[in-house]
Amino acid sequence: MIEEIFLLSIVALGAPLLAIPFTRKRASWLIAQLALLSTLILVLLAALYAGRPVPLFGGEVEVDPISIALLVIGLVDTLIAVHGSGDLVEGYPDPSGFFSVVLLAALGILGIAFSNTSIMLMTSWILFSVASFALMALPKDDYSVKAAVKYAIMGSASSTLLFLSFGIMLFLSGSLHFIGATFTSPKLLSSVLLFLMAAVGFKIGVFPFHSWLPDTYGEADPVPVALISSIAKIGGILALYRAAKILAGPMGFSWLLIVALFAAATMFYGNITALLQGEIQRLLAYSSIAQAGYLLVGAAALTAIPGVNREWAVYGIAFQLAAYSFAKTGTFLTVKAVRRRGDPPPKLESLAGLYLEHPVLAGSFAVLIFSLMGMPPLAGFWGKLFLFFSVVGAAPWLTAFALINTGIAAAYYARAIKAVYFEKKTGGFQAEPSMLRAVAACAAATIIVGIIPFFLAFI
Amino acid sequence: MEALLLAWLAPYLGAGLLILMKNRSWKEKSAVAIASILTAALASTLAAWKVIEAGETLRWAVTWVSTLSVDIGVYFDGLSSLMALVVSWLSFLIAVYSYEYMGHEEGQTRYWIFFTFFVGSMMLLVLSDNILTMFIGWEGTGLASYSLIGHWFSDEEEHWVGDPGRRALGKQMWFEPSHSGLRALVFTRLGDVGLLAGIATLHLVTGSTMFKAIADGGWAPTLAQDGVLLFFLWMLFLGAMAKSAQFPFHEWLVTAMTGPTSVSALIHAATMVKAGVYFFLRFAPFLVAAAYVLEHTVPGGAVQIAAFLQWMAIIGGFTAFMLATMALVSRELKLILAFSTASQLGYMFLGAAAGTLVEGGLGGMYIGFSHLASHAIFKATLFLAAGAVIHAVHSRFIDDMGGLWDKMKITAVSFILASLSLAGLPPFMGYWTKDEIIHVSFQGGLLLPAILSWVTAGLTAAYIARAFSRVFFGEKHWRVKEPHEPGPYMWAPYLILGTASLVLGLAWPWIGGPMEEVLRGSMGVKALEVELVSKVSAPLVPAATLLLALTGLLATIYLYVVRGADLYAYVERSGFVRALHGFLYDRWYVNSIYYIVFVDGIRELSILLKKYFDSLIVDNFYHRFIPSAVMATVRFTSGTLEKSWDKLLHEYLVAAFKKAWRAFKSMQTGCLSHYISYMWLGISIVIILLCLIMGCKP
Repeated sequence: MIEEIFLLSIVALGAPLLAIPFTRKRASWLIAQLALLSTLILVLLAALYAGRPVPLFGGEVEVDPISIALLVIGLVDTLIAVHGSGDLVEGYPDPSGFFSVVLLAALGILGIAFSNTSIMLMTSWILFSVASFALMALPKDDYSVKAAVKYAIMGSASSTLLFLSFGIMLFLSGSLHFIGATFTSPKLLSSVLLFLMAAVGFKIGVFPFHSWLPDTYGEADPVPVALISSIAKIGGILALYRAAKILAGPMGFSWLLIVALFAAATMFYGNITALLQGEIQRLLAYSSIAQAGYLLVGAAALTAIPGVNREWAVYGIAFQLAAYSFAKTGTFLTVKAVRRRGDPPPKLESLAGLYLEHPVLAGSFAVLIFSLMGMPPLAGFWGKLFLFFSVVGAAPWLTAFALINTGIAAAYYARAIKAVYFEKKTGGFQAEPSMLRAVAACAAATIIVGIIPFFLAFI
Repeated sequence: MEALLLAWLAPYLGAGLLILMKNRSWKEKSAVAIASILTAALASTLAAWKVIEAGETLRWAVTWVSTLSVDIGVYFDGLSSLMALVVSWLSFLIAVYSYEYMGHEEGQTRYWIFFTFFVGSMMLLVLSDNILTMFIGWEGTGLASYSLIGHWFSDEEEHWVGDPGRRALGKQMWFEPSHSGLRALVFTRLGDVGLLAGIATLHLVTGSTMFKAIADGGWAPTLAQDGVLLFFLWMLFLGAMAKSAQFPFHEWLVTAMTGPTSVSALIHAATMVKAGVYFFLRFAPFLVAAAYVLEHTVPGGAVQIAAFLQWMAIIGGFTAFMLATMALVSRELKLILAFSTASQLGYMFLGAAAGTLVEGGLGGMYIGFSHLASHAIFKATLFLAAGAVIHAVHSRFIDDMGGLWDKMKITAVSFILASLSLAGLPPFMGYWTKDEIIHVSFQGGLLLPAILSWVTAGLTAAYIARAFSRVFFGEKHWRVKEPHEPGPYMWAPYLILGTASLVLGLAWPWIGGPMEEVLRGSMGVKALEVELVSKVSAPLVPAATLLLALTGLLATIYLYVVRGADLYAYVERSGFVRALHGFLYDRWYVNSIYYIVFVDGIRELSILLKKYFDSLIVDNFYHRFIPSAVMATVRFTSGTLEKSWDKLLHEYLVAAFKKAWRAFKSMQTGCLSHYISYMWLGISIVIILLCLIMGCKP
């Protein structure tokens, strides 16, 4: 049954690609939402059959609850983003193309989520990567094209590292499968992780593989960024999670140490550079890097050594990815209110007075920023709490460092809040209805995810 | 039982309802807000009645996050019931005051939403049975506080704090509402980081966040054996210190006065800033229990707890003294009260710490809480009355007041009643509670904080006498036509509170003992107490304190009211006095030093980082290493050419330099090839590091 569901969801995402070229913008927008919605339902249906990991197609694919959870977050977020971009892609040369590419990217994520061999993971990775490069370029203004070229070339470079990583893995284990592989010599595993980290780290913005990210997120048109910033992170973390299944066990403490060092460097770099950013998109971009650092704290705890709480790490990753995705989708879409296609990236001050003109938009924006900041009881609070607590037994220094970082981060998130609420009006906002709905939906999702445990208590 | 949940849920529901009432009238919005707060007050009164009557604790909770063993619900024991009573009824009275005070201001919906949200969060904080929901309430109160500090975000000058144009050490000493909100957020957030680290440690050791799992002090030996006990305690209490504006975190509270005065009264005087003290009181018996456990397990462990409490006492005493000296010279009425609040919070920290040292957990709780309650009542009165005065004369400076006694008798009477309580004169409530703190500090042999707090008692009497003398007596400096008394919605709350500080003071000999009995029913309080320091007798202290306070009060009144002295002229005459005045007026230059060290420091650091990164990586690697590598190749291939090596090197190097200089202006050049180089460079470095660290041989 679950095999059929899996195939159906591929069809649900793939089939509309044939129809979209022949429809007009409005119809393709609806088709894309429908396709994502039906995939979401199918994936939720699959969750019923996958209480524990189920291998499919001779072990090529494996469906497990955690990947389903992360995938659901990705699909919900993509659905909201696609809905929100409905009125925003009007000015693009090829609005329908935008939606087909989104579906391709979603298909890539689906593949990454359930891949159980390196071949499957690599093909899905390429599919997703190429789709996201194209997506970034679609607005076809100067800024977006430049950003997309940068993204694509850096992406190709990093993908070769993924191949290298899997190549060494294949050499060491003699198997393409992730599950059940054993290593003859665990010594070289550190280099496997390192190359993997370079490839995945590129995608999610890990220092020192981050350099494309501030330029691309900071300058490209915000609509594709709203989508990619979220799903790229989900895709990257999913890939890391799949790889952790085979690598984290044999590597033990060195997994923790390597990932933790990247985590520490990444969050510190992101937070410090974000402090002085004057442009809103660039500030959000550096915050993306910092948040990647937080996620890596949880990834570091995916190994099974004493003092590490793997269950909490997984909860933390799920909560944090949800918080991050909704927050980034919502905030980047909000930027669209002050940036027309082809405009230079706006300053933080350009959002001043948003509260007076669009109180709902400003309120939602504030909720999302507070979630990124880690204000309880929003999703971002629980995410960070679980992530940081998951390593406290094995690496208390990392917990302490991460907490200090959230303290530093409060300063620049507060600047964003200040701009929206506490500054005089400049006016000239153009908030499209679909965008308003999407940002509000992101904020609502952030609040609901934050208090879900509360609802669970009554069930 | 479930109905008691309304103690914190009702204000939250009120806030939710108010969001939907944007277009309703001020009257309807106020009715919803006040009713929701009244519900909370009644629920907590009912619960407190049961707790006092039956002498037992009430708890109702459901599991919220099972993996973290976090419950959500209500927990009424001795301490939390009394605290809930103080918080909810004060909130109610101040809400009634706000109905008139904020009636003609902008942002009415916003005001009520955050006001009720604040009350809900504060009640959640007080009534939590675990440290995590307490933290959620804690952050909620902070959130409401930042928004209300910045309520007048359009930054008109009348809402500023400080003298426009004044600078100290080159840093501006005036603060707009939007700037102040940001300061409060950043300052308190720093403390919260420590608190969270403390929670993480507690959870790691005990596997729970419930207070009842922490109460027995079983976590202490593990931490003491690892040698991190003191560090842990500092981290855990950092949040409390920041929230309760203890030195070095006191700066945020001073500029928080940009908010509406009703908010200053509720959040920045009577309730939220007490959260840190409440946290301290909650942990006081736990610390004693920990000391008891340590005494039997880890040699020298109990001494660490005592040492920590002594440090808290020193910080409290120092804060009390430092802020009282600032209050002596301030020209803004609200600012005098803000300095005074931080100073009194210092007293509470001192009382809780010294009380715990001398009398054990219950003693610390009793001494700390009684001053908390007495301060909440008289300081709310002072702020509310000050709000009426500022409204009446349209200025926040006491230089623009004076002689208001004839015009505003009710306000003046309430203000003076509360002032006498603050000054610590019998039979006012403040006399009993402050006296106890100073007395117990001497008894504990805590010489420095004891002397500081004793001197502060005199300073307190002097600054508050100066405040009411210059506001209500002496020459009239106001420039408005006819200052007048506000309406009953405003004066009734502060008259009630002002009278309460007298009545409760008169009744204190009869209610103090029973209150201690109620507090005995708080979590962690045991008959079994450990002696942390030996008690010394200090018989003359109460008399000496009273004498000093009386002298301060009467001398100041004589100076201002009878003599009508102009001290500004006196300050101008002597260079030394002027310097001293400037030092106090600019808040011991603490604010300027923070800006110079932290704000400018971080800016310098980031510039340096960039420079360093650029010069080290870009210059040395790309400009020197790569060109010279290229040169080596060139040298090899063009070995037969008749050119001078030196010249060749020179030309190539310069050319390479020029090219690279254009290309690599900074790290974030926007050039793709750079980024790829960074990536490979990063990988190479990490590979080398890995080989070095782990001995990973191919």
